Amino acid sequence: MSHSRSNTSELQALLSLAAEGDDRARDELIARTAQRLLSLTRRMLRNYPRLRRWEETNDVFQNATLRLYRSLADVRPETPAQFFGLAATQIRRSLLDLCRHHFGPQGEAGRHVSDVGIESGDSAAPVGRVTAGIAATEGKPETLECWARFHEAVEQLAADERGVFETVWYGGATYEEAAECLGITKRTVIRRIQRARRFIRDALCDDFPSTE
Amino acid sequence: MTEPLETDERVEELVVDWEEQWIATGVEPSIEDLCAASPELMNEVRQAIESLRGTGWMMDSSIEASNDALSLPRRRVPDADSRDTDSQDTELPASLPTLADFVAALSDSGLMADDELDQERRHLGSADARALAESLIRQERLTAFQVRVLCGLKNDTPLVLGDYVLLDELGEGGMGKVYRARHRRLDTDVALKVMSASVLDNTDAVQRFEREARVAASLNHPHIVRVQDAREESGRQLLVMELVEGENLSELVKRRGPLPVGESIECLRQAALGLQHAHEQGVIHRDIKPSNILVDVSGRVRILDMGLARPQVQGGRVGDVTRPELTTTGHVMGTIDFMAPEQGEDARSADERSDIYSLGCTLYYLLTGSSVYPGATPMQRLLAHHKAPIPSLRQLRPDVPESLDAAFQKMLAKSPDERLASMTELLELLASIDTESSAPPSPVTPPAETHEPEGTSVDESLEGTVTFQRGAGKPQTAEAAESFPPASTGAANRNRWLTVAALLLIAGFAGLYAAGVIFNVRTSGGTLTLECDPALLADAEITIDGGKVTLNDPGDGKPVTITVDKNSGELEITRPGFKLFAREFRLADDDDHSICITFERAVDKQPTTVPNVDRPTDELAR
Repeated sequence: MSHSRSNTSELQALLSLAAEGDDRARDELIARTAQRLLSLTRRMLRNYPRLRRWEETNDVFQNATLRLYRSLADVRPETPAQFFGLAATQIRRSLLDLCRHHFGPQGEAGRHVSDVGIESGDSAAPVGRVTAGIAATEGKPETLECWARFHEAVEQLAADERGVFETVWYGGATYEEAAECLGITKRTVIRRIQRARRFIRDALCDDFPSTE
Repeated sequence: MTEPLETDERVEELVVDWEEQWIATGVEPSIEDLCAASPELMNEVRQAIESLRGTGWMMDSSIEASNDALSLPRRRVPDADSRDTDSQDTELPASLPTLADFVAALSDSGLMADDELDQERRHLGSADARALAESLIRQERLTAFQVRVLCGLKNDTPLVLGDYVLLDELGEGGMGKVYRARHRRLDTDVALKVMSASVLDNTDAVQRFEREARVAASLNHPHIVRVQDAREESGRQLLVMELVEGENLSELVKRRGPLPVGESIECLRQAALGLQHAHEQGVIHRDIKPSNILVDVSGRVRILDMGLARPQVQGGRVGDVTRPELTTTGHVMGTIDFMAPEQGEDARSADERSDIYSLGCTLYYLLTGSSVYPGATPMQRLLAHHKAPIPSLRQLRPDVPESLDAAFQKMLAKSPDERLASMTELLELLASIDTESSAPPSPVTPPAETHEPEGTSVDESLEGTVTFQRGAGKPQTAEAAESFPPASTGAANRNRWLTVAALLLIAGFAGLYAAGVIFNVRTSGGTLTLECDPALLADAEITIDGGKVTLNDPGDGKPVTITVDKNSGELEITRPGFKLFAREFRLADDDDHSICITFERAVDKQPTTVPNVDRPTDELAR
């Protein structure tokens, strides 16, 4: 899931090789997926320095990777779109597991919903308008609970919007790549992405209404 | 005929226009321009755009920027990588507090009685805080670490915890730090693991800490570092461990390079004995790796860090400490390079065969200096453990007996069912190697044995880089002064042998002659001679570091590493993708200017002949 313009055709070539039983091609597909998972996990844990210390982060990564490995071994996607969909599902489930593991009743993050920024010493922590768990200035989830709701909201998207959003957000594809991969125009990609963004935002705000 | 769009759809299309234009031009279009043809929609479009702005983080492309989260290896205890160096130990802060503040902090710390402190101040007269600190360090009444804590640089743990006085920080683990500490009344030093205050409110972490104490305390074996006590002091959970002066196998291999076969077998055997005992008690270590296996000053191998150890769910004698649920799904423990495949999938599935696998990976590291599957990314390494072929030890080390390679293959079988079933089985195999091998097990060389051989001069300045310069005739040394600061404190003195041990393999520097440039490096195992063609001198760079000599191949500039195998009397010559064992060899550039390297063992009766430049014994292929 790189970002190059030739990504889609390269991806198709890898998928074809993997379908013929080329293990190296399959490994490369997994590597790309895992790299994206790694980036997204970092993003979610960015506000949890303490959690990162407690967490065996490499272990989370390797466990999720194994899950990807197994899923991609069982299901052989034939097109980039199928691959993005499958990989996105696995990435999302891994990230959801990570969130749930830590914000559950015994989870470390459960105690940090209200003190993000204080714990991290982040002077740029959101102030002012408060939507619990969501950074007021950008609307970005700042707690693992909120991140979990984010991933759940993605699952609830209409199929078209979800396909585009997964390809771009979980897959890291550009709009052009997503358009090529899904066989739609770039304008359609933009439209569906915008719808998805609005839907997710509303879902997050519904679950964590403003305390004002 | 196309149906006219509803208002909502028109607004949506205008917002799509807005983003599309912005992407195309790099400039955000104004809403006025956007709505020039539909001014009645301007307010709705503005609201829709503002709403969308709040979701901009979803499209944030900066998520690749951070490289500080998952790829950070967790420092384990007491891992060499996490140890402060002597230079850090002795370093005082650049800026100290006022004398009054320093005295107040010292008094509050409980390290010294007030009357002792007053006496010292009277003795020093009008000294400032630095003079007082340095005086107390010289008298070994304070350590540099303690001074740093008193100065507020490391103030998260009290310096006095009950009967224990913290002397130095040895390392940091997942749940706390490990200190060298002294029991005040018994005047004995221990390794004190102190649970971090920040995790005290974490029930799971506290349970793990307590579990570690109980599991470790249940093990009493010569090859396992002993836990002496577990207690709570000043609200802190403490684990008191035997302080073992030594060097872990990771440090050992980094310092000396790959170990001789016999010594590797002996390390393996002793570690297996310790693990056999743990397994018999129903305890699986789960994190066996070179940095968790220590060689003490007597040459005895000891297993460290039972932090991940857990009793087996069934059987065992540790009863109520069994809390398998503490390792939950999604929480895999261990270290990728040495972790059994089944352990990566589910930590709860680990059993004694997982430790056997990890021990096999450790054997490979001892013999080769690298991990079994050295992939570029954690994922590549992880997957390799699952599916890559098991490498042959003998391909990399021809001196490895076939029977040892066969045992290694059985230790690393992908399926636990195909693996050696127990440490007992492994020990039986190792015993058979003892009788059939040309390289029988040999005692593990303790760090102390690398002290200066009698009659050999020690030039500490050798640690660093030696750069030849055309016509200079003498080596230029760099970084030497920083490498070995004066050991002026008690703590530093206690640790000093470690530094000396790291130095002494490369023990002397005999001569350099500008005409032909012969460069002799005396080691405890013999003398390494490098004869360098003068034409290469301008660019030749030789680095001596921790028992390894590295020089650049004059042909392509790639690094070539040379280590000495004292037992076999051969040099191990390594360059990327290539490894060679020989007594002498030659590196040459396209013009046949060469560097010849020979090794003369200390026990050899006959001096080694300087190699014939025209007819080298071995030549590295490029």
